[in-house]
Amino acid sequence: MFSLTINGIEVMAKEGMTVFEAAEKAGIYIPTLCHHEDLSTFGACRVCMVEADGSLVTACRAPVEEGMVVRTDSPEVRQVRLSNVELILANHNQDCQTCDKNNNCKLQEVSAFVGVTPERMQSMRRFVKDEPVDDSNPFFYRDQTKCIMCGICIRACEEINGVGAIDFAFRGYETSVSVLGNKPIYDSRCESCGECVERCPTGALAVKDQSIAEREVKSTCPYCGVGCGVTLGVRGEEVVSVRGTRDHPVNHGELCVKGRYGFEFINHPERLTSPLVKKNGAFEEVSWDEALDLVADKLSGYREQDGADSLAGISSARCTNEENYLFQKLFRMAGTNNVDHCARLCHAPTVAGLATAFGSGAMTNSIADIEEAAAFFIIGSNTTETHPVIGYRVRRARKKGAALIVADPRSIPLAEQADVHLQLLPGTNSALLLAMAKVIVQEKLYDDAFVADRCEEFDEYIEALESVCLDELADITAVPKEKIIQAARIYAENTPSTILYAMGITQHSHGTDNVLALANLAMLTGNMGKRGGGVNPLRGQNNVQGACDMGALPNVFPGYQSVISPENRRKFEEAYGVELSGEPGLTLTEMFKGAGTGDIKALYVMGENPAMSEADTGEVKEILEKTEFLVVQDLFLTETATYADVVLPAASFAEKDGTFVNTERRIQRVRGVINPPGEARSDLEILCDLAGRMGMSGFDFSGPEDVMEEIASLVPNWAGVSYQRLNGDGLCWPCTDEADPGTPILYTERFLREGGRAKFSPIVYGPPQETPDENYPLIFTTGRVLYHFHTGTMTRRSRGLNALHDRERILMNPVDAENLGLNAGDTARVISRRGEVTVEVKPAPQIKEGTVFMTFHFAEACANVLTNTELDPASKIPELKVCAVRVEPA
Amino acid sequence: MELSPESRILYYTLLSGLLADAVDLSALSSGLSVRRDDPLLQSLVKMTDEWVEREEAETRLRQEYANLFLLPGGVKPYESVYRGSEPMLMQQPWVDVKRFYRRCGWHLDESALPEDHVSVELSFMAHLLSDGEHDESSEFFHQHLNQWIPQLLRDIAENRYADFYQSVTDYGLAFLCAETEICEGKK
Repeated sequence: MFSLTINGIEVMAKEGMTVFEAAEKAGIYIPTLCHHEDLSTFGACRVCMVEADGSLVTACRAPVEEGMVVRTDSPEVRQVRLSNVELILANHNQDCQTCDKNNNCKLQEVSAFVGVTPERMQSMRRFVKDEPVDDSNPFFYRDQTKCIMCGICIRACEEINGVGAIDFAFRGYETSVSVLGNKPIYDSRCESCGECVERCPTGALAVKDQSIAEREVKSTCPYCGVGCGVTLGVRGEEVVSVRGTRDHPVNHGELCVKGRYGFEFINHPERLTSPLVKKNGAFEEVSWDEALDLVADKLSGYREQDGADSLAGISSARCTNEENYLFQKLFRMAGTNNVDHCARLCHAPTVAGLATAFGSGAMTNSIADIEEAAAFFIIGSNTTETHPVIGYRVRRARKKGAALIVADPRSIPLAEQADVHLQLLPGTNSALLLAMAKVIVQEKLYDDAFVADRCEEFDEYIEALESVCLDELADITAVPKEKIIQAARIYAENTPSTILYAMGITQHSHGTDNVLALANLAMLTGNMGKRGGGVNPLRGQNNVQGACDMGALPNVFPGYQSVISPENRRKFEEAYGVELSGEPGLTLTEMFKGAGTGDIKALYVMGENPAMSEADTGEVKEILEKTEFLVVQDLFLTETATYADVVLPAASFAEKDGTFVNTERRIQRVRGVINPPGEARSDLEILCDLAGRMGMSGFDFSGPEDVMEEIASLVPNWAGVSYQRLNGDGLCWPCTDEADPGTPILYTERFLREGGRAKFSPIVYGPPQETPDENYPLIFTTGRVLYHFHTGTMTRRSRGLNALHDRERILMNPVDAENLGLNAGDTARVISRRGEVTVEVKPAPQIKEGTVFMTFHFAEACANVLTNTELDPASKIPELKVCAVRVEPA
Repeated sequence: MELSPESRILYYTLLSGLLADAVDLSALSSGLSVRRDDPLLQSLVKMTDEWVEREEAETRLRQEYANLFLLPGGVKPYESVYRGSEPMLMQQPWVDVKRFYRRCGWHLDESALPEDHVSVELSFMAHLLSDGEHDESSEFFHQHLNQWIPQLLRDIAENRYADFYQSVTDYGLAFLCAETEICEGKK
């Protein structure tokens, strides 16, 4: 520690601190314009000048020294500061009264502090640049006449997001903040994350048409599984702004474009406002009593006539934990385990695979310790587009020197920064992972101590590896052997190494094997139970982890307690007061088959859109059409809801209380800030009302907090969870009692399998179920983009997000496009064995020859019309990532 | 066209009711029976007479209402959507309407419809007239109603789901035209 004197006050400061930081710690204000606590120092504005041992220095850059004497308010300091501020003001657009930053502007604050006078302002020769406002971005505008060249926006783009879309351009008086080529920002790499806008000290960057909130409430983002903390700004009955919650452990105030700007759906005029019943093929508005009586009568009737297993429920990865819990409770009390949700289409292999390997099927580490990894192995995850705030962490860690391996069939944005990009053919993941394991074992790069102490069945695993040939595996993947060796060495030799993965691993007919292969690699190299390591599935939806945790699955009660176990059944029977089925129910994909054959009479869909998200949606739509009784509960009339017999209007995340669980198992609060529109209700209220009408008891909850009490009483890993304890940063389960602070990192001491050891699982490479042939010569793969979320129910109702990405295009390699006679903007037919879509073509060099790519965000050209329903045998996930197509000019 | 104050109240109340919820055909037919010769209501009377004879008329009317006013393919009968800077609910026009109501001592009870829903604004006009607040009613007509409801009615008329509601729009547009003359005279 150093002792220095600031304005006569003795201050203790740590080595490495700046004078600015030391003064701030001592409560002494030093004005500044270009300094920001989240960013590196810049020292450009010269407003934080202080006198240190007789010399004038910038406080933000001057390191403290022992015995230093600092004056922050000497006459010379004041004069220098004033002059510098006056120079900035001399060329500043002074429309303060109508500026969006009026009363919230750092320049106003600093000008007042340094004592700018009207006389001095009058005497200056003022010349404001004649530069038009750039309002090309749909969410914010850039006004260079208000820019003070502090560089905060540039540093935010570089240091927070890692994109680096903007920088200083030109020289001298002409200097401005610009993008490459001095184009409108819309035409740049800018991802519209808004981190620059959030930090801009003046009105140079400001959100368009934003009202000032009357009050702010903390909640959790409703989009992806990162689970960022958001602070909702409310004015009257409208959410008018969203900002990242600064002290939140997941995102520290950072957000992506969807989280920050994509909330238009809340007050969208297409929100469902009243229950609807279909009569003679058309919907009509009915009362809640009529709608719910009808649903209750039908469900009860089918149960009585055709058995409880004629009912099936699809719960929601978008709804709260409490709602998912009640959904499975209702269906289980009705006598069936036919409950599932969209995890079946995404991380079902994770739940199956990681549970087999480690004893629990969830992310092993926390989002915070991702940045501590010495190496990243990112496979099947376009992280910067699908989990952007985690992507920021990866980019930051990379800049600090972490190694990066990216395995993806496309040259995704992260691949550009990778040490090695393994551009494998779709569906060859397990071959790649076997090859990497082979290298690690052959070169004795594995952690034999870890393997010996904490794992079992290693010998069987090694024996199985002996039979695989590296050259053959490399041929299968179409990745050069040298790159595979390089990647294996990077992963094994850097400690800790972390694995991040998503749909590119799971959405395959061998998805579970792919997950097991990843678990094998992590065990082999000892990268488990330590900060910066682990096997980290990036869950897609805001509460898909929670929906799984709450037992919205056919084979387990809440807390992954198997329905087969008589002991588990007895516990839940005692709690629910009825006999429960011990037969595992149908998965999502099986439910549709059942509805098609008529075995399933009633299908209840809460907050899901299978008409867009299932494989082979053409067949799914036919099944929905002929399902005897279909209930859909949602915010909007989705593609699935158009087939419903009854549509129930539900509340959004901003209109109800509850909890979500993010990908790192963190249980977090969601808080309602406005009322739902019209007669819409929370899913919790709807389910409790329905259960009552079906004669079920045990649904008399006064609110979600009560429901959580019941959950905590039945789920051992949640036993320490309560709303009171969730008011801060949330809790990472397992949290087994009231004193338990939660578990950010799993397996630090033991694994959750019996015996406490992790298990190696030998796997054998299996090809995709459908490969190219002469009729369907191209590999078709699917994915997502930054600006839209899944089936587009929310994001396609944001004009801004639509402006940034307005329609579907098929991405294909320029060589393939040329061979087919297709140019950019042409329309093509894309045909698979299941159906066809018509879509615009976009040649894209980042796509390998022989492969084409579409998203599943756009109903007008739905990729899942084409995808394959072949299932992974263990987890029953369909092979959404690989099928064969042909492309023809339309 | 000259309209008595009582008639104006009736017409506003009628139009408000027709746009608030699905039409109750038998109640409407009964109500129109005493005004069959009213020139403003001719289209509505004719359509009601036709529909009363139709099979499952009530169901079809409810479906037409749902398609026009509740589902994505229809219209959005809120002043915010028509006059706000963005076609969204709860924009500045909604705030302005609420302010106007408050100024006149009017408060909306617990209702599923927001203050700037077409039927609520029309009902407010009826109340102003029945309270003898002619200046306020004229002001509200010019500042709010006449700024967007004619366009809403035209959008309903052109919507592919509009059948019975064609007559509602005919009536509404004719009435608002008459109101424009009356309120112009009061400017």
